[in-house]
Amino acid sequence: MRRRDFLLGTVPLALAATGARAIGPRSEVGVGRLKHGGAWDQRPEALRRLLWEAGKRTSISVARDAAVVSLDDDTPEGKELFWQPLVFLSGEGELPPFTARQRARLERHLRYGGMLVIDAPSAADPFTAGAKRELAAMLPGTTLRALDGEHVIFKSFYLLDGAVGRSRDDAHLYGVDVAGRAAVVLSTNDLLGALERDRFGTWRFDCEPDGEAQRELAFRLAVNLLMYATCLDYKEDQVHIPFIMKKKRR
Amino acid sequence: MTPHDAAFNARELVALTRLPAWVIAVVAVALLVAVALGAHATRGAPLGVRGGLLALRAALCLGVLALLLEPGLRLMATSKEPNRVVIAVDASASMAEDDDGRPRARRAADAARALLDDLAHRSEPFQPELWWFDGTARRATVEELAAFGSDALPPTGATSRLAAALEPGQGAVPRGEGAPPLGGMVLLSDGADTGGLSAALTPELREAAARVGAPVHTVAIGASVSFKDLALERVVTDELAFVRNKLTVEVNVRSKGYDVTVPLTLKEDGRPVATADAVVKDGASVKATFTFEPQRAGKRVYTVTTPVLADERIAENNRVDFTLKLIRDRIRVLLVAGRPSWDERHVRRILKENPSVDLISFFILRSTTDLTNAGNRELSLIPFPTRELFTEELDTFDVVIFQDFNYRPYQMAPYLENVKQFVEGAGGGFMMIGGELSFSEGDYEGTPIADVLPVRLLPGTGHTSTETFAPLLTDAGRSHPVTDLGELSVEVGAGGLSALPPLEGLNLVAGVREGADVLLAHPFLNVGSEPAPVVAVAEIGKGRSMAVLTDSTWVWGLPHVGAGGRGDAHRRFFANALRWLIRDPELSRTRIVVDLPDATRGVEPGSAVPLEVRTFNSRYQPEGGDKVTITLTPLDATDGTTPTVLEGTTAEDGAWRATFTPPFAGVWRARVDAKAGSGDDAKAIGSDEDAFVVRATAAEKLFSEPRPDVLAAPAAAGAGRAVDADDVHGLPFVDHKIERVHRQRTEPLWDRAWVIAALTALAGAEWWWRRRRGFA
Repeated sequence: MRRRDFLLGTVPLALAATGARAIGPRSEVGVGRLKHGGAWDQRPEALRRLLWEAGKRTSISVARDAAVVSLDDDTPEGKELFWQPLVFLSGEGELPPFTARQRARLERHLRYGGMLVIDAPSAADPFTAGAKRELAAMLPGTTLRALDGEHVIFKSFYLLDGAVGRSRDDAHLYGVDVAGRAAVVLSTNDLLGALERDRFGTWRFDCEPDGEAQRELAFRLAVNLLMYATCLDYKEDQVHIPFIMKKKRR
Repeated sequence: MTPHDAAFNARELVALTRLPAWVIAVVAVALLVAVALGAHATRGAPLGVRGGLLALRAALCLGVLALLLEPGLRLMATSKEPNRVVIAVDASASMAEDDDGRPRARRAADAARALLDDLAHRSEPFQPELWWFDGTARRATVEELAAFGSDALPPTGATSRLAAALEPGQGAVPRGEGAPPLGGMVLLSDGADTGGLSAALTPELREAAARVGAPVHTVAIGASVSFKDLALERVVTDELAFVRNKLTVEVNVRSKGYDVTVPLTLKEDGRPVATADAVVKDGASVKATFTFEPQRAGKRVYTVTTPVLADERIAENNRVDFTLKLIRDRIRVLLVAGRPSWDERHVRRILKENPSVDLISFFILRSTTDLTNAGNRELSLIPFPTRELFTEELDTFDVVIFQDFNYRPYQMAPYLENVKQFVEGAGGGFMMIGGELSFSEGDYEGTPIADVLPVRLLPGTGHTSTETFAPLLTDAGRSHPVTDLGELSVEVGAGGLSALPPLEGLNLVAGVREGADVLLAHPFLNVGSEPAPVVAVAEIGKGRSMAVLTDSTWVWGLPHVGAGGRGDAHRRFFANALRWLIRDPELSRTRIVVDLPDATRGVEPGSAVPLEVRTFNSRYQPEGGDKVTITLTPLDATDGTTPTVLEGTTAEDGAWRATFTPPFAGVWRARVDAKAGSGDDAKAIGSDEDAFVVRATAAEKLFSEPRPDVLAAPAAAGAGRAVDADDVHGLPFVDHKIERVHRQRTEPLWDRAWVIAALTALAGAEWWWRRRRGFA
């Protein structure tokens, strides 16, 4: 079938489904918030906000809130780790080293299909170095590489030019590939900082330098990460490529 | 007079001594020393005296040496060994062809007799030897040759193999030392070789011809007659091919008497799939090539045809049938998911990572109520090409999966009937995976999709359960390949798949359709008196269907790893499901094999076709005692032809073997249906199909064109001549000049008195003369 023929007469997706919910909490898409020995809970509301936004913007049936998970295997949070295919690791300042057992659990999670998003306040924050240290110890032989603007994460739902967060110091995300997918993604723009609201609905941090427009882009990137976690490289299927190329040219 | 009575006509001088060679050598050296001493002792003597003494001593020494060698005379009675000349006559059925009122067999017999007469009048000792050859070579007699030439012994060989006459030890060519010398071979044939021989000899046959060690002549029978024919000679293709991959089929088209362009058509199961033209030239063979992409797996029957031209001698060879086994290189799967979810994500990952799966997926990423905060250009969303997918492209898929997908928002109602036909009529596989957009929640009740589901849907929506549960393996599930999860399946005794994390949420249904099997059931929710189905399967027409009534099987993956498991149950479950949905032959419990020596080209008319059926019990083990029915249907038959039905019971090894002699030629399909048990309790095990071709006419008849070019090749390789039947006189043969000794006698020459006396006289004379001249 020719590409043109394939596309003619199709039904626009905009005429799409009504919203729906999964049948049971485990069928809802949630995220894990990784509890660690450092300042792990500096953005306590961000992921709840992300899930809410994703539920509003996409067809994903989302969980109400993020689940706290840990790398210990003898706690309820530890047992929750493998029920959360997408886990966020965030913090500020020093990241105390994981134990060998903790590293093994996280590595097993990633190798069997899990995904870890590391959100650092900035590239200079000691948390970034600590996270890189743990990745090197946990996934020896792998490389943390820059994900350029063509990576599927930047087109999994929104078409984005690069990475943003509360800051936009680095347009790149960084990733570690495991079995052909970005199992680990590192942001150094304080992505969760842009999503964080207090209980009164006020944004806790200003986005620099572009304010609310930048915050919107941060939400879009976060939604894209969630979409990548659930659809993987769907947007790199051959059928999508001509559409995305066309839209990007405009 | 026998050879033993023959007079001695040859003699030769021989040594009869039994002394070892070294003794003779030592004595010879000693004698040389004696001559040298004699020369030394006679220094200064007059030349005549010295020469005389040395001559006497040398003669004495030679005499002593000859005495030691014991010379004798061998008398022999010999005769010349005749050289065999093999006259091999083609006895294949094509030799019965009547070319302008004179059968080829008669021409060959006349030529052979002319050869015999020619050899009888030669001065060299040539011994003619008559042979027949067709598929093999065997001796013939003069009387048989006479019968061959008078139609009393018609040629009936089913094949022609010129090579049969040349194979050392197998045919007329002698092998090993002591074999009678071979002066040459003469092959009398029409050259219509059905053994694959062409003008281009194989290296093996060229070597065989050269190894004969004597000229190999060929005599073309029927070469001069007018013969017009177009023949589809040979199909060249692989015995196995992959669906949706380019397949090349080559057909050799041979022309005799035509210089035209002819159209060729290739049909698959009677449906044209490719065409080609062949520019044929008189006396030449050209290759026509078809390239196409077969779409359906299984044993397929192909037919190549070309129109029958005016004045063609043989119409039947304008068609050739052959079978091909088409297998999937990849299973083409269409996955349509109503929204992103962990279940969708894990299913996609499993399918993408499976190298045997070619996945086309469409996910609904945004619903009508979603607010993206962005214009369409800022989104990577694409249209959902429902019309193309569910009309034009549908039959290119092996399996269609609806995962938590509601069809209504996409105006897909007109296409649901296509999906039904895809399953029922085209044999496709369909799977529906649960969720709040599936089954009754997806509003499928009363649609064509409901007709191909293994479960009966409830009307309306709201039929879900959010309970957590460990599913139970049913009796069917314990032996079914879909739920063969390795060691996890063994733990059924502990109450189901308890080693796996519990599932959560279920689409409720009204029950299962008749004939469907529930593989996994709910432990406490019931539908009527039966446990609610969790996974159910069914045969739907030609296809298969599967219902997974939950969207939480993904927990058999990553969460199972977290609990210490291997996490492969989810992958294995879906891999099994795909194989079952596409009717992977390895998962069939009933298999039929039509075991032909040349499955591609089929069998000769009148040949018995061996059939073997194997059945397996639910645990996929041979058990025996199953009732088997084979229905043999001619695909080319005109209306009213009744299929042949064979019935039997499998033995303990699970096999039942039968033979079937097709009453007429054509393409036959063999379908087997197997049942376990008897009477009303009989339960269908499964069915399978195979196909085979019965050629309309024997190859000898199809390819009876005289081929002098084929005959020229072995003649050239065997340093012989390729001649016509009227030109067999004076063919050169080799006289190896081998003489056979019939009788011999040896007479010693040394044990005579005069020999001793002569030696004594020589010794005495030499001694006397030496003493007289004063030498020591």
